[in-house]
Amino acid sequence: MLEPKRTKYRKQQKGRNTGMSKGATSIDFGEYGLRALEAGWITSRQIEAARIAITRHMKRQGKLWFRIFPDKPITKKPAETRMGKGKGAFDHWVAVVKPGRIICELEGVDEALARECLALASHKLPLKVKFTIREI
Amino acid sequence: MAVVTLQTAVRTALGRQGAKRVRRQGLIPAILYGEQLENVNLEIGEHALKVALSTPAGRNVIIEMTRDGAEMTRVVLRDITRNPITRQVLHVDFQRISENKPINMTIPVLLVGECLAVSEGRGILDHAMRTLEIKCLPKDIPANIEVDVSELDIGRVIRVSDITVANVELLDIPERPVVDILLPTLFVEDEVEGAEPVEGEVPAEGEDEAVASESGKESEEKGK
Repeated sequence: MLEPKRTKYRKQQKGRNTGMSKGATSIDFGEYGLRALEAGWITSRQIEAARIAITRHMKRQGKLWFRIFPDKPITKKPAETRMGKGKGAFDHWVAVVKPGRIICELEGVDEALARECLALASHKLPLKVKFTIREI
Repeated sequence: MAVVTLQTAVRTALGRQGAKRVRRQGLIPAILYGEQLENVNLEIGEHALKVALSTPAGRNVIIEMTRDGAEMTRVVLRDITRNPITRQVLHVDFQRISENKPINMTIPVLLVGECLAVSEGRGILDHAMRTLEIKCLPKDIPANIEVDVSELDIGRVIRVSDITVANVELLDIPERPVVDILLPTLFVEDEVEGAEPVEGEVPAEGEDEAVASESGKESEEKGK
């Protein structure tokens, strides 16, 4: 699964996820892609599940790019713990996604297969997404 | 080079609020600049722009722009700003051109011919550069740059230096690959549990997306 090699700090604050994506809003590498329509966090497990779903369905064809990277550590307190006593322990990594962001791109497959692959991938993601074709 | 006409009007509503007012009327705010002349704020009809850009050359057309009280200006489209979700056009940039002055343009690369290695399933066509930066006179701007891939096989690469277009100078780095054939990858399942982050140095620059694509490749084993 994807994760940063090293980080400056072990834990981060939650932050607020508002506004629209500033970069990665157009298809730059492949021919087809998935565009996020909502803001949210995508975990490294979800990215991996989507990647596996796509590569299995493509069957040795095409090329895949993921344009998000899970670089935000999320912490969690153990079950049945009282509040306080400091921040919880690290749990998993997430990618912060804003609406308009291209999540992944595909190339080397026809449109029908790309639609199938990306539909499978969209079922692994926690956000509303839309199939997108490269603009001229 | 295709030439289209576009009717525009000078825009008096300026700034963010002004542009919003223009959009509410179904028009698109635009700007015209270049050739050391004053910038002109414009508004154009959404449909008129769509028609102007619907030729086979797409965005690479010479536009003969008419606006109230001014003579016709020859321009090229420089930039389109779109809404990240709806992809609705928010703003357009036009640049004036001169007939005898070379201009820089971004031209799409069109692959022609059928690649045997791909049709036989031995490789994947990697279209690494979909556009090329060129410099030429406005009359020589090509609609697209054709690259023949019928001779391409696994391990062979077509680079920028291999492409020649009459009366056109290619500005991209000559060694950059435009199209090549990759070996298909074989998918293998691998589950590596994520470890707790360790404080250390600042992550290297560009780690973000580069790692995303690389680690994806790492977990896939090369076939044959």
